[in-house]
Amino acid sequence: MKLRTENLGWGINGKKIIDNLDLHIREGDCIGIVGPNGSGKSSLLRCIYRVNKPSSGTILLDEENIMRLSTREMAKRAASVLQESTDQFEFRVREVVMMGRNPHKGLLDRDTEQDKSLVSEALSRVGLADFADRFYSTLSGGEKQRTLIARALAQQAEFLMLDEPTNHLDIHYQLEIMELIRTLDVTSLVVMHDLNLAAQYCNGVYVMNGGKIHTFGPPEEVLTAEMIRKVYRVNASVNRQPETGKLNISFYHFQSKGICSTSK
Amino acid sequence: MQTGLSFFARLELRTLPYRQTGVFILFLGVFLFLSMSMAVSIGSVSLPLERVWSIIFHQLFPESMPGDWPRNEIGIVWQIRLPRVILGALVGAGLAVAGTTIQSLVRNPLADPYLLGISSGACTGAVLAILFISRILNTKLSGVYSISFLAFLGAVLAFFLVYMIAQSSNGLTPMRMILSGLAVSYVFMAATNFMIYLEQRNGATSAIFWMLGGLGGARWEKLLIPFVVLLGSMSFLTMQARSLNSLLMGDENAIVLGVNLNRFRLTLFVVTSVLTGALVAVSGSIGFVGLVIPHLVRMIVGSDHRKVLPVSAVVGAIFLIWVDVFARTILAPRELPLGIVTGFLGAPFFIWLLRRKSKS
Repeated sequence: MKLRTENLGWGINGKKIIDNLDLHIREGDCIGIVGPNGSGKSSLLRCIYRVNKPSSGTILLDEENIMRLSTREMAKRAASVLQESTDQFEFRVREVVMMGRNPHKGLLDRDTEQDKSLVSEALSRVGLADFADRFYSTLSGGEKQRTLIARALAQQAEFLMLDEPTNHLDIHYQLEIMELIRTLDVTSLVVMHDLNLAAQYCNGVYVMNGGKIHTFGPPEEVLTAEMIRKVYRVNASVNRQPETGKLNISFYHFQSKGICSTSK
Repeated sequence: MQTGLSFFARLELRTLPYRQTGVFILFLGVFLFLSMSMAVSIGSVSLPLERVWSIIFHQLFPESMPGDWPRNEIGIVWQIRLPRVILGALVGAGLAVAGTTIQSLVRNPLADPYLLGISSGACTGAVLAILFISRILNTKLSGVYSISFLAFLGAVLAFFLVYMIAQSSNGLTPMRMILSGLAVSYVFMAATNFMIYLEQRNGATSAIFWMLGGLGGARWEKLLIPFVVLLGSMSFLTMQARSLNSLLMGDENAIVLGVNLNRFRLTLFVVTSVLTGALVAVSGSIGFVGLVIPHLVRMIVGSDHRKVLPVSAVVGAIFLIWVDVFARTILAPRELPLGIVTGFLGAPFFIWLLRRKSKS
């Protein structure tokens, strides 16, 4: 499933948060959106999963304007893993993942054997097969995140959006989750902070700054020391990792080089 | 706060798997039927169960058997106790269902059917009817009807006030709904108290008694509206059970799971308001049931609304039937207001549940 946005804009109280965004995401892509805090990454994603109502422009999912789709039709096509999470009411992991089937269900439909096997499959894919009967609220941050990814898998949507999916995860699961996302047979759009993960797992990266797209391209072309200095206001040295040949970026503050030393 | 709230939800007796839930509901249904029969047989004049059933059967199918019971016993069973027990079941079921739904609507375990100001509006209407209107019309019968009618009118007025205050460009958000409901509640409560203050020498006690809740006014004609409203809202909510589940995961999660959030929340608000308004209009405000029954049921069957809604309805019905039996027998011939009994009986029970869990 491919996604295209044209001239997309959204703001709050007259202030433009994102402006004039044109995204082109091809079928099967795994695209990262990176950028400093407040650059509009999450606002962009929220426009696409329809929590924010764009003030201008269009969002086309397979050339269909998503604003014309019902919420349910949209949920059949696009699944999202969000940062928002509440656990004041107790659900079992199995029940949370089963909610992924909701958009496919009519008012009187019951859970079928097929729904149940989709749920078990999704749970084993994220390594939580033994957690099905645990309470969601008793899980660790990483387990919760994987539960929500399993829910998105059970949703069987061809387009997947994730808002900082590796937040709270240890290194093992950061790599595990990104590996999982890349190997899924879907088009995915991932908002992330970690440039090294973006370099390793995404085949395209949008760099956002000040509500606009700064650059777009394959990670090797986009994630340069220059871009990082300009957008993130830190220095970086960009090397290749000897084992994988992927980018390996490390950062240091301007001050540690002694440029802005205490002389006055 | 967060931990405090989730503590309520984390209480658990034992969560039943899907297949056993059906058996459980069946068992509860049988228990409900027995409770209703026993509640009809218990009272100042005690009647054996067998006679209760015979009288009811004879009333339903007069041809089938000769009816040679004393006239007063027929009156007690058919005119007084049975409508009252049925009303108790309807109100108990309705409060539990409304409570379950409102807790999901505002995503807050401490919510109950009276949170959003609807019952305060209904109380104001009812007290207005009791203290002023019925005296002007000066007939008892019209008094009874004007109480229910004005109570419902008050509920509708409160609904529109809360809706207008809570409505914003983002639709209805839980926090705005709770705060608007609170504000509207206070206004109506002040109006009610003002009327009681004005009329403290003429019948204010009957107004206060009404507000504390009771099933004393039950008669067959009064059952139709609560029955239809309960049936309607129950079937609607059961069909929306999946969306109610999604709503508990958070607003944005509900949207990405295919719930049209603003429209759904407004519909739920309308449905729970009509339900609460109809119940308060016939029974006054009976506290505790709508708050605690949903939690009690979640401890047994989990949070899935497909299970919580039907089980809450039956448990709420059983609970209120027995509360009413207690209320009319403990100080007989006087009747305790139900709101007092639900507080005295229910709260310690709930505390016991809390303590029991924290020990293990």
